[in-house]
Amino acid sequence: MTAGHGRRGIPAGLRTALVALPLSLFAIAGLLAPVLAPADPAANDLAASLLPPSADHLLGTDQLGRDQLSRLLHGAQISLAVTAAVLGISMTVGVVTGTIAGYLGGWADRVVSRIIDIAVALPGMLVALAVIGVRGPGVENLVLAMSVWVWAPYARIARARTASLRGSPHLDALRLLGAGPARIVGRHLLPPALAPCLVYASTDVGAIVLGVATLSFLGLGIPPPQAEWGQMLIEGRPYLASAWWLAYPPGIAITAVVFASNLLGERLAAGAERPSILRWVLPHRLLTRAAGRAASRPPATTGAIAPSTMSADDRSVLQVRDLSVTYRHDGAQRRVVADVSYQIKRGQILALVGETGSGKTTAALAPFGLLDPTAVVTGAALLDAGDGARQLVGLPPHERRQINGRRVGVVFQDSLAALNPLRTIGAHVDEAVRNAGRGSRHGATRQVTEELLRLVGLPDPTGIARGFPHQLSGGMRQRVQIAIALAGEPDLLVADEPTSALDVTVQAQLLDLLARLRDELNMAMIIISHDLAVVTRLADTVAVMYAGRIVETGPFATVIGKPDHPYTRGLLDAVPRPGAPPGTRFRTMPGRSGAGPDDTSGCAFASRCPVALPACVQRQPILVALGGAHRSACLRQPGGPSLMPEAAVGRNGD
Amino acid sequence: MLEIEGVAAGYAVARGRHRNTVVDAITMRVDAGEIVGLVGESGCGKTTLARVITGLHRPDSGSVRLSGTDVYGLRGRALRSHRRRIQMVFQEPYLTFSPRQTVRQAITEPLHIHRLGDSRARSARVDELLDLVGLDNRVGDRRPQQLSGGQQQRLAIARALTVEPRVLVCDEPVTALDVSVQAKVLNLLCDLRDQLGLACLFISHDLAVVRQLADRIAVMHNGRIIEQGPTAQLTTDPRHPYTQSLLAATPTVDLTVASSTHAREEGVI
Repeated sequence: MTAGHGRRGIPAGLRTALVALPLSLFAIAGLLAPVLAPADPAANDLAASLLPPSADHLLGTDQLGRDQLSRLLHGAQISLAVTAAVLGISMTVGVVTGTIAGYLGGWADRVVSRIIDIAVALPGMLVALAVIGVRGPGVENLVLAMSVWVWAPYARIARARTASLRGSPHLDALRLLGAGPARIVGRHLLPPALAPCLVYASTDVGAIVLGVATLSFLGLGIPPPQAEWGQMLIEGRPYLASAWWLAYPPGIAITAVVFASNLLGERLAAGAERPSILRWVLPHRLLTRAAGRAASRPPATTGAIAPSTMSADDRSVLQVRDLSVTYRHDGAQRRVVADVSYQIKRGQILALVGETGSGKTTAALAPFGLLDPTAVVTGAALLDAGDGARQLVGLPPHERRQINGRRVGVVFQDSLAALNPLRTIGAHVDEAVRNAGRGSRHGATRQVTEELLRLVGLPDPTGIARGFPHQLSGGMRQRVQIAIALAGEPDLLVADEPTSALDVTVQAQLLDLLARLRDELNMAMIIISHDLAVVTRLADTVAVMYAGRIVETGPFATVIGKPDHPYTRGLLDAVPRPGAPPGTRFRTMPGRSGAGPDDTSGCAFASRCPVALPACVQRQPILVALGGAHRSACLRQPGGPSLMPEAAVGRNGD
Repeated sequence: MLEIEGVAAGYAVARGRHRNTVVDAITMRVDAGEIVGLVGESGCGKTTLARVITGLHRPDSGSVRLSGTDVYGLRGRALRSHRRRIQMVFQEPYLTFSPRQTVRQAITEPLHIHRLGDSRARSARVDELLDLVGLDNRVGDRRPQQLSGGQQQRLAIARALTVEPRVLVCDEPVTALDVSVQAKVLNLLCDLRDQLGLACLFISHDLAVVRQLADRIAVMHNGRIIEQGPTAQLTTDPRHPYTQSLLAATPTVDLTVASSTHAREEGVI
């Protein structure tokens, strides 16, 4: 096991190794001191006292003629032994106490927590001095004093980690499987609690070395004949001006170890997800594997796609053409949305439907600059048709602010995450109103706010404006988000899975609200959803996405009533049917989704398609008109008789 | 197989003596070879009931009997062997696996707990289970986090089946899954019922799924079961107004619904 496991791990691993180098030297010196030391560290030779560094004595000699290098190495041995003993005792006590307290909860947890709080609050050096004061100096007492000083943070870390895991379904599952408390604590709670403690310990090494040196410097640690770094410092102090080689080497050694241990702790703590200190030497194993999968395929050049034949319509609110989104990851580029075109007219609702990872959210949010800053967006997105059209792709941020919130409103799925828990509902909506340039004085702003809250169907707008997000139900919060999105009187509303987290009855009411807003305000909307059934109530047009491309689009009723693309058919078949006798097997598609648009040279669905032709894996199908606005990207004879009999779709399992 | 009678359960509120009753007067049964759907909206007590049934949460009153044995009267070894007979599948499978274990270790652990078989028999059992739930046995050396959502849920089902349970309680097992993946997991449950004669309690908020899957349905509202009966009867002739509203609100891809878009707007949540 060496650092630099895996190609991409080398730089990061090497850096960590360099940071840890002084610690490694410290450990090696400590372990091999008797072998490495050129002389006996305690052998006096008064004839050779206070010699400067030379070939015989690389670091010179002290006032008693003892070899300084040997003393430094043996000092490392003592520091290492004491540090190891202290860490061993304090971590064992701390982790076991903390884990058990965290697992038990209740009064046991409260008692242990208070003890930990007190131990952390006490000044450690005073506690150590008190212990040594009572028990006298000596190695055992030094270890005991240091352990009393440092154990508490480990207990605190382990307790917090365990308490956070206590209620997790993982433990419930284990209990159901018959696991007893010993197995749960020993096998499943101690290891994860130990991991952050080990990271903390790497920082603590420095503190302990410094503590031991400090106590020795004060004459309370390791007694004099033995070489110890703090001891060497105090002995070298009178000769600071005449014999610099006495005090500097131990001083540098202490500084290097403390410094390296703090840096290493920082580095390890930054990679908080790494479950164990072993990962430090195998730093990027899992990351590299995941990245390797993603980057294994070089991005293909844009396929030969016929230029979009969409004609601009006067009522078009947003027209997106050949939109592609690329993410750069570890030097490789990966497209997630490829050549997507759609348009929305005033008073219409477009549903973007697809499964996880199909690129539907990315395709809808990309025109408005709402993606990660590393995303590269290409293509065209025109807001408004005709003379006043604005190209949205590549817009500088200050111009974007004129559009987002004023011309376009966005509603996100997780209403709790989208609202600031510390601000009232009124403050949220007020801000949106002011940003949109409506309402100047506070009173006027609040008036607009209450109108908006009323518009989205919230009773008692005055009272709700004074409430906080957590006081509202999920459905009400989603209405607040819609009110915020409507503050700028936008032409277009983008809603990303607006009802997915809600109960069905609430969901139905919210969908009705969106339909009402479309009719009353003549707004255009894009609804992003994974569920065809949800958008049934709403959508005028639908675009079905698979692997970053639109595979079928058209008027909702046509696409649902006469689906052409095998994927659309598969998706519709998988939806539970009302009226199907209980126990009817669900129809399924073979294989699994999750491919990117450039993972295959042909149709991304070909490997799962029950009616794939040999040509499907070679040529990328383009959207072909089937009549009216209904278009499908499938190589089979478009519009011809269906090649897919019902029975061809797997009826049983996969 | 599973009989629940007059169960009430709740949680102590803020260290006081006061208890907050979450489920009350629950009486229902699940027979072998049958899937019973338990439907209700969030916060109605479905999950608490699941925890009571599986023995994770002691009820305040009432009894849970499995093949005639009262679950909460068991101690020690009897309790451990009882554990084998009822298992649970959770909503978010990735939360129920230790990130430190491989797939194979996760499935083998119950066998270690119950000291079943030697290492060869255990290995064979793992392959058999992976095959049963339709997973390639090559996933054995991967970690659960590296699998897709559907695969994780299959894995969770496989682990629950390791100890040969007679009853499987599924708490929203497909809610986090895509529609096409959901269909595969649901078919798997049907197959297990038919092949192994499992009794299955399927808890979900999604009536659309339940009415195609379950043999019988129980509707839960505010901690009580307000209506239960055979699926066909309950979905075509619901008695309780709440069941009716639940049926009306359930989204479907039926085209007749599309035309009546603005049918209802009945106040706020």
